[in-house]
Amino acid sequence: MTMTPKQFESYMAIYGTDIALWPSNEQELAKELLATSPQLRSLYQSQQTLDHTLADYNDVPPLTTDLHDKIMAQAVSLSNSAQTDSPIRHNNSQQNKESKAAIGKWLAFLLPSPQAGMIAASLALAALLSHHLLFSNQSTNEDSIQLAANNELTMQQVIILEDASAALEDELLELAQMNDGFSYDEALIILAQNSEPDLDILLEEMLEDEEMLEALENDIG
Amino acid sequence: MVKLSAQDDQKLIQSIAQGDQAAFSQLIALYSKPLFALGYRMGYEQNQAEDLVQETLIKLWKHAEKWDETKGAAISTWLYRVMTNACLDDKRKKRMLALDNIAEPEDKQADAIQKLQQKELKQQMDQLLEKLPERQRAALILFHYEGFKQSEIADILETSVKSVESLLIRAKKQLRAALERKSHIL
Repeated sequence: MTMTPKQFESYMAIYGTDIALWPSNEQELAKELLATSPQLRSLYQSQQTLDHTLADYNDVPPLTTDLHDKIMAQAVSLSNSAQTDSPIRHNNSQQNKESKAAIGKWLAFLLPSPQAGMIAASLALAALLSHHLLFSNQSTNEDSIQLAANNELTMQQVIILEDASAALEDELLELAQMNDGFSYDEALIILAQNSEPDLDILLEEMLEDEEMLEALENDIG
Repeated sequence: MVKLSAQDDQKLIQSIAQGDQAAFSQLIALYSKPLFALGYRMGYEQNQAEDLVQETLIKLWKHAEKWDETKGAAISTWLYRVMTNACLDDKRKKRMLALDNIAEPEDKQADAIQKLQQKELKQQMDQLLEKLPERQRAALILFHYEGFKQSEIADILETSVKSVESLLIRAKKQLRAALERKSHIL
């Protein structure tokens, strides 16, 4: 068994210049190589200098004293605003919660396991829905009417879909961020990138699924 | 690096998910400093790094109820991942920073020469690290200063252990070459 200079360099970068911390079966090989190669010794010394320099570069300033309080204040304010929403807002958020519960069926179908690909597809679907439905709290706009007409839906069904699509989008963005570590921006990029026309078929299927719409209506009451 | 046992992790996240402010306060006390250090070493000014810490911790507060314990992720891994992503995203969007403006901590006792040396070293390292690609820089900081293992860094950066090794090797090679060039010039 031998060690090449390239392997030595890799170990040095990964484990540092203290050879005693390298994998035990590599230590003797490394010492032998170091003893026989002046070039490697020079490299080793320059890596030691770098390691010392990195170790000395350690002057992170203390946190400002009020950071903890600022974060707590924001958290408390978020909790309070969730509890004391205005009646109109509350109705919407209540509606959203109900919609979320209702779309559990969709999520169960869309997210059998929280894998990035599936989440991306689901996000795309949510984006497509939002795009088609042009979600708005005042749902009697022209687009909604048009959508209802084009798809032979009642306005009630359109409203349900609008709410569900917005809730679904929120839910999926949160899931993507929480479980797969996407940043919000990355999740939005995935949304944008995956809004391909072939997803129209999925949307059509969803809109044609009378059972699902009925179930949604029942769930939301 | 702060690391709780899986059991403590679970307990803490469950309490936070139930809106337990004391538990969240404990989380802030545990993680704000190391997360801040990561942001600061990624080249952010103090107030910017603190904003990113706040954003990261608030995300956990908002989403704690959706924590998926079956995925077996540690809170620390998740927080470092979100913080690292926040840094990388931000840096992708804009070229950061006047590192020169970072205030040195006041230390009236230190003698002038030592202060000058420290300042030079900091400037030198700031300049060197600034030239590293961001993922190399993140891997180096997580490994060298936060004490994460390569497998943990792979989790945080959402890549393989091999890629982390490669990031570290390239980062150190580049830094070594830059230091050598500097010493030749001086």
